Amino acid sequence: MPGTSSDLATPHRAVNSLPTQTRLRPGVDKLTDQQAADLRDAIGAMAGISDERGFQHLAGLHGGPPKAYCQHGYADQWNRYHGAPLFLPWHRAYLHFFELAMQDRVGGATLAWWDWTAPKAHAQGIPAVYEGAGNPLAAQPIAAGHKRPRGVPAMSWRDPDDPANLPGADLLTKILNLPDFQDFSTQLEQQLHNAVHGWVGGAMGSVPIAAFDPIFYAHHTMVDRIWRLWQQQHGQPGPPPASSGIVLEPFPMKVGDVLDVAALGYDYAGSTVNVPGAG
Amino acid sequence: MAYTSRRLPLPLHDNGVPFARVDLQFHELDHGGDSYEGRIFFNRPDADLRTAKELGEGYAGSLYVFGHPHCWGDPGHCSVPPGPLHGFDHRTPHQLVPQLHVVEVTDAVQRLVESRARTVTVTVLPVVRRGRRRRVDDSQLRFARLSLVSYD
Repeated sequence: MPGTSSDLATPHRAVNSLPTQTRLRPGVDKLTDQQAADLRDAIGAMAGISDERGFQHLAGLHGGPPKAYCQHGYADQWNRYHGAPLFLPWHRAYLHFFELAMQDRVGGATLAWWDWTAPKAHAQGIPAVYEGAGNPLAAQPIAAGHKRPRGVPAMSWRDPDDPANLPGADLLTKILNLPDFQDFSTQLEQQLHNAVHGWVGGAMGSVPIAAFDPIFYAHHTMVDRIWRLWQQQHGQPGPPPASSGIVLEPFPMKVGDVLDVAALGYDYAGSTVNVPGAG
Repeated sequence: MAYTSRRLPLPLHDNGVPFARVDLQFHELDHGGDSYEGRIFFNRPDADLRTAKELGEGYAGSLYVFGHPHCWGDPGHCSVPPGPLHGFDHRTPHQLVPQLHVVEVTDAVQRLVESRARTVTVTVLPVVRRGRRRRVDDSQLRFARLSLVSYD
């Protein structure tokens, strides 16, 4: 039955009439009790949804099934990317859509970054907020509803190495100082990102299933934060302008849409202190 | 038996200008197996798991490969096609297209040059981890070409 004009006008809010306050993604070690509860509740609620709003669907967009959309490595043999590694832009779009799905469930929820270079990480390894029986941040089913290859367990699991073997702050500083974006992106991906995937082990050590471990998102939020820090330090977005129009499949965004975190409505907080205002 | 390259000439300090940086480039590296750490040693074809990751032991750095074990599709799903079918094929490259890995090895090369070495062999130990136990799995390491590149 055709809709009337009033049907079309009522329920939808225009995007340009919505709040545009920047949300600050906190560090995992500085989560307030409320922030930790929001994060846990959002992932827990997403885990209970089996359609495209749910954890399983979104986790599957990374390495599949049905298809591995993630961008890793600088593989431009087909000369498609105009000299731009897509690792950082693709994962920024991915985190943005994942965080929106979290906020659909729990309005105040944000992603949080796991600083694996910090002394605390080098002492304790996996952050405590991501551990514990029954905690939705500790484990999730792998590709529920899909046929898994032999040898792939039904639930995500971890096999962490000695915390002392996590990457150090010296290496991070060295990589942040690299002035060329392609060089920076490659070293960040291969020397830090890949090393931490291997350090966590288990599902995180395998591209097709890594995103089914909830700590994946804390790890990649740290990687995204490092790109943000590099942009601030070097005063440039990174990818060459010729790459701006490259589509970040399957998201309705292009490289040029994800260069500025402010345009995506978030930033990274070292710390946040609020006091009452006047009046 | 770990991979060891043939002898490569080391970059020289032409006109007294030291190089700013030296990289090892692993071209067309296969990442279709387990994740692993490739420990790189210079002039140490005898390096093994007990060899310390220290400059003095010939350690130059590590490459870290984020692997794609297990194929989730039907037969052929994980076979890399040779490239686009034609100029109208705008599909993204296959997820298993081989990668270029770059490891900065400036300090290790500098050390060799200062010791008056003129050539270097590159040994790579592909180390797979399960818990705190590590083993060398040579079947993981597959690449087409190795380059030693210096920048002035």
